[in-house]
Order: sequence, then structure tokens, then C-alpha cells
Amino acid sequence: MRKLFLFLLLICSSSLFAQDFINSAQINGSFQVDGQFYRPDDALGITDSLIAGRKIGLNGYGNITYTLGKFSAGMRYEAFLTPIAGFDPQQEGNGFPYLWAAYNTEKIGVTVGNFYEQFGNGLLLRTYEEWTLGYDNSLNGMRVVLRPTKGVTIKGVYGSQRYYWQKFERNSRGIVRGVDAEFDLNETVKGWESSRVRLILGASGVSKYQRDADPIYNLPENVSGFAGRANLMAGKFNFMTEYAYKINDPSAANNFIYKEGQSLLTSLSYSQKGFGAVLQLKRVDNMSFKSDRGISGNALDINFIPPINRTHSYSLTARYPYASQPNGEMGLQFQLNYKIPKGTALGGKYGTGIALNFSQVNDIVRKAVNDTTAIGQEGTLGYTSDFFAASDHVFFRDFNVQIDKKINSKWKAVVQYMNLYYDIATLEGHPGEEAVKAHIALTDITWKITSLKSLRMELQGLWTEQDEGNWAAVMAEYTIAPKWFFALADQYNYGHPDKDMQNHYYTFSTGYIHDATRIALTYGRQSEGVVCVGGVCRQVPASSGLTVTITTSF
Amino acid sequence: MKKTVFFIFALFISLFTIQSCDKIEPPYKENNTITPGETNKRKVLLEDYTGHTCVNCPPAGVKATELKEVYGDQLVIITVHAGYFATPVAAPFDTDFRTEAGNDWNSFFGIISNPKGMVSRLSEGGSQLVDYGEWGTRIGNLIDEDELANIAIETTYTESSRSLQIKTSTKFLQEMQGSYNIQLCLTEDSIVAPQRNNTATVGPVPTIENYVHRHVLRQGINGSWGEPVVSGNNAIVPGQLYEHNFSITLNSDFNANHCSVVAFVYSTADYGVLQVEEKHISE
Repeated sequence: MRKLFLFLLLICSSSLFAQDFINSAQINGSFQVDGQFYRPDDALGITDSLIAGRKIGLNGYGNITYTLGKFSAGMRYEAFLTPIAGFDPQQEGNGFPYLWAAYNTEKIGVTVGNFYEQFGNGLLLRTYEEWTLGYDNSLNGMRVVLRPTKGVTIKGVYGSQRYYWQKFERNSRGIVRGVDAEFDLNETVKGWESSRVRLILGASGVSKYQRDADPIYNLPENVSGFAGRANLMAGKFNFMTEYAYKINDPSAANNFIYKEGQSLLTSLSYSQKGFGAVLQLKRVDNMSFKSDRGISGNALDINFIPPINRTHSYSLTARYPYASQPNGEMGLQFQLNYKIPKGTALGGKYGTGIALNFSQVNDIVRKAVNDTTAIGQEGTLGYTSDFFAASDHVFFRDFNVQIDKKINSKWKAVVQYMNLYYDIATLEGHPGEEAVKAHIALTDITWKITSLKSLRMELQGLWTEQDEGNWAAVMAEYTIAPKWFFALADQYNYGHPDKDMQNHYYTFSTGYIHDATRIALTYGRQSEGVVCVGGVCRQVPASSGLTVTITTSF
Repeated sequence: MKKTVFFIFALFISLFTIQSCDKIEPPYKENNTITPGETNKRKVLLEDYTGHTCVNCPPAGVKATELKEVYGDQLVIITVHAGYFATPVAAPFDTDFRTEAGNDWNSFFGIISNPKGMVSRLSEGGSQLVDYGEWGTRIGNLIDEDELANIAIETTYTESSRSLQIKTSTKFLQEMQGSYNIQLCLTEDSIVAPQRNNTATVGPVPTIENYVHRHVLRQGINGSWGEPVVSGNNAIVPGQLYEHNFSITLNSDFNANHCSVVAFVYSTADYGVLQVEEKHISE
């Protein structure tokens, strides 16, 4: 509160001296409230005792940014009272977790307070906020960005990370510091300015400090890592790679082993009109990097392991999403997009889009460090691993093909097929459960009735003999542009092995949009599942009741 | 100029990375020995919230045992089975280890994921809940503190009737503000029952059939929140003995040879545990 008062005082006192404090300034804001009203539902096993009196969950935020020339400042207010089901109860609270002020010129930028930052692909450092996950690992400290000469950017950051509402206290958790530099060689090397080949090089170093007061282990108080990256663009080709290395970092996440960590991310893409192809490769070995070694959940991550899997948006194709495995994974993804030209037999009048995607992630190979130490044994080096070897243990495989077709001025359709392998034992922590092998097919048809009215219909099917068995889903959404939409949807778990659990998860939604304001209401049931954004996931429990979302911005 | 910038940065990042590294060489484990029997030191309560279908809980149990080996009698452990993962389900996980006190604590302290712990129920940064990787550090921060209160437990157990008489004598060693409750619990050690598991280094995955459940909370002897140490609104008098007597009949399912009484004194303002004591009932 005191911090907020000082912050407001700073802004107000400035106004006394700056005549154009209001007139020349730009103020932006955005607000959102998500509310859920729960009701007992015997069929889903939701009882009064499970709701435990918490009949309403409310998550809300307000973001304000003030800009005056080279100066900018902002704040975000949040209130989770009580948090919506599935959000960590440690979210419960309200206040201003995000306050910042910044000064930016051509040569230097300084930020004090809370900030988000990413070095390269985030393999060593990425702080970000994801509202749908309830995830925020912002740094609270200082950031300096130097641009000493054209094509050179040097960043330095230090601070402590946000951990729900827990205030940083001395030794309560670690301190993060990092430096990063990026060199655009076409702008820094003489004679390369007009080259058709562009090369950008980057390097970073990140270190955390956390006191060792552990009575059992001799823990490193300073853990650091470094990363190097390159991005080469030549005509229609784009090649990117980044390698990161981290020294011994025993933690709850890796069962307190002392092995070093490594990760490599590489992608090669080709793009021209009507055709695009991307190949991505990834290897991750013991790369969980948190500013508190004792934390094992989704919090206080310093780095980020980017997923290289397609992010699905339909309810059944997104039912089994992949969660990145920082302790070890080896994956590849291949994506091909092709548009059959219009005027051809298959392309028709408008052309036909085809997207083909394949991704697979395996475990890495681990070998015991000696005959007497089990693989991953706490308080040891843990294991050794051949950098180029992938284990037979498949975590995830997704082959999907999608065809988009505009049939005429009134109708367009999307059809998609997905073949999925999902190691539920590893990815959802259900040891002993058989991996889910599923076929998923869907069609999404839009009928443009008039220039303002349209009807979109989805029909989906998921067929599997594992987990909860087969699902079917239907949805109809009627839109009256630009103000209204109404939707009816049902997901039916008709293949659940327990006949009592063969439930319908029906919802009715409506929404009203006016300028930048959107109000949406949904009544019905939500099935238990997993929500993932960028490979970071949270479990969503089944719920029943009314959901309200209000968003606005200015 | 550009080359200079490049080399200065390369030098800086190299120095930064090297300077901020602590490479640890084997042995990785500390050779800690705590001198037992230092009676003037604070004892620390570790509550391990767990459940028999919680796949990630066995490593927390290992951690608690390791800490007990380091700190001996200065650390008292209560393993609380409560919440979703403690709910009895199909065999072999049909045993109900939950207790009324455990359920109340689990709900009150807002524990929805396991494993979770509390170290003397003390808050740091606004939260009492601690992940098991941090238990050692939290305990280490408290273990050298001088005790502010002292609890003595006397037990009389009659095997034929399974009657257990308990007398506690609490003494505050300095002037204390606020009010304090004394809470008594019954724990049972080494119950062998199945436990779900996802950590191969601890035991078979997905189930450890003969898992040894340690220090299991069996009963809140005087409810979930205990009773005032000092009756009425009387002020705490340092040095004075405050005595409390309890009597229970041991449940026939409990193995008396493995049962202990745990007593702790906590502040009713913030629930922080001032002192804890444990006594085996048949000692």
C-alpha cells in the first residue's frame, strides 16, 4: 500500500511541475473480470462440501499505462476473491502486484519496478504473464537497455520474481540477474548493410542467488547459465538456433541432482506465396531453472521451454495438450502449408488451403553414473545422457491435417483429422495409466446468411479406448455482427468406461460487444481437463454453473 | 567502436557467468551432526500434508525422514492425510487415514495440492505453506533459536482397557503477549499400507504396496484447535507451570507400540507454533 501511495505521489507531484502532464500524455487501460457462480451437480460429483461455501469465484485485473514523451509508467491491479476453480488458492488476494516506471531514449532505456523480459527464445530467461493460467513470474527490480550503436542492443536485469502475493524478504527466495546482447551484423559490419543474407547473433548470461541453509545438501548459492543464438535469413529461408547451458542446480524439480542442464532449439523455415514449411528440433536436459530451488509447481520459473507442437483451438483436438518437460525431452515438429491455387480443379474459385503438421516428443536417454547409484537418485550427479540420443519412451505425438475451403460467397468449411499419442502417465502425473491413442476428426462450417448474420457449426469426434473413452462435440454459434453472438454447445463423453460418468457437458453462451467492451455469459458444465499456454499447463476441475466475462479497454 | 563494444560485452558476459557460478564437487551431502539433547533450544514442528493416492508425495516423506535423521528429537513430524488425495477410493486405497483435525487444518490453511508442508506454521512472505524442497531451509532457520516455552508430557497407558491418560505441563520462559493454545494429537508411526508413487528412486511406480507411512496423524486429542494454555483472561506468568489433563481410549485399529502424543503451543493470532513436544505413549 505504501508503495502504491509513493507511486501515486510521484505521478501527482510531477503534475504540479509539468504543465502538459495531462494534455500531452497518453493514458491506456484495459480491464477484465471473470466470474464463475458454482452450483452442485451430482452427475459431475460436485457437491456442496466440494464447493465448501465458495459459491462464487472472481478473477479480475485492471491495467493502466501512462506515457509522456520518453517517460512511461504503469500499474496493474488484481483481485482473486476467491480464485476461480482450478487456479492456485495461493492466488487469493488483491492488490497491485505490478508497478513500474520507465525512461526510454534512442541510446538507453531504464525500467524500475516490475517488468517482463525475454532473452532470445527464453531458454535462459523469460518473465511473462498469462491470465488464463494465472501465471505471472515478473521481475521486480531494474532493467537497463543500452543501444550504444546501430544494430547493438545490450540488456541488463536484476530483481526478485513474483510469487503469488508473497512479499520478497531477505533469503525468502532467490535473486535473478542477467545480461544479454544482440548484434545485427548487417547493421554493425561494414559492407553487409545491403546483403541479402541477414545474420543476427545473440548471447546471454543469467544467474540466480539463493542462500544455502539446507542441512542435508551442499547447495550452490549462485547458479548461472549462458546461451548463444544465431538467426540467419537468406532469401526465403530462415534458420534460427539457440543453445543454453546451466551449471549444477539441484532443486525439488529435478529431485536434487547435481547434473548440468542443457537445451537446444533449432528451426529452419521456408516461405513463399502459397507455400510454407517449418522444421523444428528441440532437446532439453535438466533445464528447470527457478529462483527458488524448493518450488516444484508452476511458479518462479526464470526460463521458458518453448513448445514445438501445434496449438489446437477446437475443444476435442485441444483435450490432450502437450506440457513441456524441463527435466528432459527431445522433439521435432514439421509443418507444411500449401494453398492450392484458385482456378485449378482442386483449388476451385477461391483456392484451397492445406496444412499438414507432425510433431513428436520423446524422453531423453539417461544412464546411471555408476553401478550403485540409481538414475536420478537425489544427492548425486543423477545420470549421464548422450546429447544426440532419444529414448524409445514417447511422450507425445500429433499428426494432423487440415483443409480450409471457401466454397462460395456464403459457405466455407474447415475439416481436420488428428492422430494423437499422449503419455498421460507422464504429462498429467497419472503413473500406471495407459497412454491415450486417439483419432480426432472435426468439421467447422460457416454459413454467411447476410452481410451481418452468420451461423458457424462445429461437429467433432474423439475416439480412444483409453482414459475417458470416446467423445462427441457439437456447437452452433449465431453471430449478429458487430454486437451479438449466441452459442449452444455440448460435449458428450459417450464412451466413458464408467456408465455413470457418460455425461453431457452442455453450455449456452451469449455475448455483447460494444466498441472495446465485451460482455459474455456462459451457463452450463465444464468438463475436467487441462489448459496449456506455451507448454505451461494447469488442471481445470469439472464445474457447473454460470460464467461471466467482462472486458473493456481505452 | 563496434568491435570494442563487442569485445567489452564478450568479456563482461564471460566474467559475469564465471563469477556467478558455484560448481559443487562431490560429496554433495553435508555431514551435519546436530548435538542431541540441547534442552534449551526450540523444537520445530513439521506438518507433511499428504494422501495415499498422491503420486508426488513419497519424495516429501523421504525428505521428512532425512530431516528427522539430522535433527533427531528437535524435529517433530506430523503427517496429515487430508484432501482429495487422501480420500478413500477403490482397493487397495480404501483405507481412510483422514481425521477431523487434519481435515480442518487442511481446509483452514488452504491446502489443495500435495505434497505441502508447514514448518511450525510460521508464515514467510505471507504464506505458511512450504514445498518440501524448502523444508530443510525453513527448519534450519529456526533450529538454533532458544526456546520460549517448554512442554513436558507424561503418559499412562493401560493396555487392557487401551486407556491413555495424558498430562502436559507448559512453562513460558519469558513474558509473552497475546494468547496461546495448547494442541494435543495422537500420531502413529510406521503404518504399512499402499501408496501411489511416481518417483522410481523412492519405490515402485505406480504403487508402493508396502509403503511405510510415518508419523501419521490419528486424532486431535483436544479437538482441531486445542484449548487456551492460560485459562480465562489471565496474563501469562513466566516460569509458572500450566497443567492440562486428558484422557482418551485408543482406537482398536491403532498399534499402541507405534503411537505417540504430540503437544504444541501456538499463538491464536497467527497460528505460529512456539514449541512442540513428542512422547511415545508407552515409554
